[in-house]
Amino acid sequence: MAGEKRILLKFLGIINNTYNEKELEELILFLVNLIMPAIRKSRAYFQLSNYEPQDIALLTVSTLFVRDKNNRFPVLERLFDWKKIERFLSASENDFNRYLKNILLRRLKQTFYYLRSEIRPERNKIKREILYTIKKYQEYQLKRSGSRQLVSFVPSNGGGQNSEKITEENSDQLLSICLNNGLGGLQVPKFLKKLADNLEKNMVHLEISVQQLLEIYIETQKHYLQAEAQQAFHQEKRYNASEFQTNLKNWIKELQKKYDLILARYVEKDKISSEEKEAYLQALYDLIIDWQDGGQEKPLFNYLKKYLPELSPEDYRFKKRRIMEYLVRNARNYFKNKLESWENLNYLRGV
Amino acid sequence: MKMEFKKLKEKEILDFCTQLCQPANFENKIILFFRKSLPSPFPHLLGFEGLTSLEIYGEKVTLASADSSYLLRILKNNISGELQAHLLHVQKEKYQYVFICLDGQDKNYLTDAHGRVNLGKVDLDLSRIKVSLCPPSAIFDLTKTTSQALPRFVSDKLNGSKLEAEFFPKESGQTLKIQLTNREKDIDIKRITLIVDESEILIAVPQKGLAILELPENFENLQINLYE
Repeated sequence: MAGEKRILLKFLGIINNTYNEKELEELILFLVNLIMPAIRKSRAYFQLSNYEPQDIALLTVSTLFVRDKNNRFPVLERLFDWKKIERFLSASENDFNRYLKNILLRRLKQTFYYLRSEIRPERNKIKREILYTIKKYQEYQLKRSGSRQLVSFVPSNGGGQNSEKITEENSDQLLSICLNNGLGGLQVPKFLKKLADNLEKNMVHLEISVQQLLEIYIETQKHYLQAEAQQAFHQEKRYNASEFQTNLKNWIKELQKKYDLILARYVEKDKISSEEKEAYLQALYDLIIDWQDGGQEKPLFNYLKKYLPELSPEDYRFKKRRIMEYLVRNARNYFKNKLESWENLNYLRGV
Repeated sequence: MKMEFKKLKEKEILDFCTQLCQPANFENKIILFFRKSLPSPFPHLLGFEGLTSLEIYGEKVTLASADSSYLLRILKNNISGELQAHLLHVQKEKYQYVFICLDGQDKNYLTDAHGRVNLGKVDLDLSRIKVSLCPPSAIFDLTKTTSQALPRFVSDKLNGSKLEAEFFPKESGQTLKIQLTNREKDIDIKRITLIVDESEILIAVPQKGLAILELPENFENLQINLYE
């Protein structure tokens, strides 16, 4: 059995309280090793006083293994309830791996957030990298003014007379540009490349000290880290149930209307009969109900067969599967998009 | 050199994984010894009181510490077949939320506020059992607004230490970061227990004296116990 499925079974063992120490140790080790690369990557920019990368990994993972008085793991059981395990048992290994990584990375961001007072950026290292990148990129020029090193950027067409100029005095504007254009979470070369693109697009001149650019880079990364951690909390929060239910009903209605039209066109083109059209609609509705209730419970063929009792597996494979899978894939994307835009709306509303 | 360093790191990780999944190897350990109790002077008392001859609880074994300050009685519920341990001490800090370690068991047991713990249907040879206790080395009380706390009860070794607490709000409940400061470097905190309103208990394995715990939605008082 491949790695991830084996890990999934270990989670199942924990939930059913049938694990042994060895299995638990293997699971913990697997999780620690899964997040170590991400921690090492972030370490190039931020160091936490007194904490080595493995401390951060162990701290992140240990929050999952807090026990209660019955010797069970409440946090872990919340994250991996039996319905999720069941769903992942029938899903691909990549799906489970993605889910696991998401959880761990979200928790890692939270750990950084909890330890934010102890973040100590490696200023010298970052400064060296800024200088190296600036010398490499033709968009920037490096000048010396007394004992200070200045970085300058001039837009390719000179920027015109009305173009804005950012200097030491108004360097907070540069921070705004960095934050508003999503330059957080980027390593120095990509950060400076994107910054140059934005300055070029907005016709902005730049002339600030390397030291100031370093401070802006660090501030941008700190903001990013905090925003990410807050977003992670946001992702974990429970939805406003009544508003969500109303929205969901409307989304389902909207989707059914859309599919009614699509399938009507298929009927017109003699691709399916009107009976089959109804069967597809009903099957999809059942599937959506199951999605709300924890996930798909049986193969798509069974959903359709419920409304087309004569349907044989061969018939499904050759004629119906492509349509069914197309409808399911689109429905999944439709709900995903709706959920994302609703979440963003809530985020903006500060809910 | 680099390889050795890498191996060392891997060993640290392995050690930590072992700590998380195995019973803690407490340093502050009190070993218990068998205690011979005198036969009851009133063997016929039950009959006189008209009770049935079936005793629901049968005392299996009694153990005591070397200085006789701790007494642990292990009883068997004859109906359910489960074993129960009752820990006694004159000071409540010494019998409440104490880890009981039974040799050969893959977990430690934590007593409740009354010094009791259900051991379940464990297969133990009670005539040869080896038992040790680990009482808390320090106890701190926290409220929702506390950021620093001094111990309500503390052992000599941890005297002078402080607990720093930081609450992080979440949509459902809160997260608590606790860190022990002012402690001597060689003191290794093996477990941290968080008792929420004297009912819910969470047990964490700290990393460098720091633990992060997810709290339930509503709580009033928190008690934090540290174990060496």
